[in-house]
Amino acid sequence: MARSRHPNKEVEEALTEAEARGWRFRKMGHWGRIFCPQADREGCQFGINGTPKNSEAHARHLMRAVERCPHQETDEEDNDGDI
Amino acid sequence: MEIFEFTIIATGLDPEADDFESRFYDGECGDASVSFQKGHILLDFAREAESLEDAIASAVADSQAAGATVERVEPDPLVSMADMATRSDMTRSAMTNYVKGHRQEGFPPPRFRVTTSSPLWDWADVAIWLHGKERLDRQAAKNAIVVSAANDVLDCGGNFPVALHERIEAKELELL
Repeated sequence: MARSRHPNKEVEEALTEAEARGWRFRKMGHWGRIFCPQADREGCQFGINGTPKNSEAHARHLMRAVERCPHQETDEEDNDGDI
Repeated sequence: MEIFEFTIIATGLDPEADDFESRFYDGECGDASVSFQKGHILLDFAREAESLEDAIASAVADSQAAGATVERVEPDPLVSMADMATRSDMTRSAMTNYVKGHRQEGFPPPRFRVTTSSPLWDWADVAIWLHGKERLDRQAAKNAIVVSAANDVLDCGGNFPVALHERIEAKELELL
């Protein structure tokens, strides 16, 4: 299902990156919410702000949420014990 | 004014609710990003304020006003050897030498998991000590005190901004 583009360029790029890593978008909440590959109550979610005050920070926070998600499909790098 | 970045860990709201993030985005927390992980609400703030103390105090109040129960403020003041190396921009082996007293004596003792092979330190203790040895700048040490104090005050209860300020002032006496 196609989602609409986020009005902000940085946030749109972060969304595209998260989707490429297996996160799925759902239209709900403020503008939409994105769910990690573990799509149940245990999974991670990130609420996308449709009108972020600081879009650069919002995009960075989304990337951080993707990085700290423990449910990521681990094919690109092995776990060296960092968190 | 400066932008301060930190994360508030909270509970008390149902992420299944459709207004879950709107409570924050449409309220006073429009400068935060709301996410949900391991049963906790994470509020990543990029807040403009005069000081880190003011930023954290107002963010805690705004998060509570949005209905959240604030549990902790991160970057977590409990740090491992690896965390301390990263935060002070040193290699792990350099950090190990400090901890073991090979370079200089008097490194602060760990606070938690003391009997294990992976103890945890209070970053404020360590930051004050490292600043005294000119291995960490004063601002970084001050910020460590503020975040550590915020978590202590959250654990103890009381009027948050007042207790926070008192705690920071007391701990800052240790800072050269």
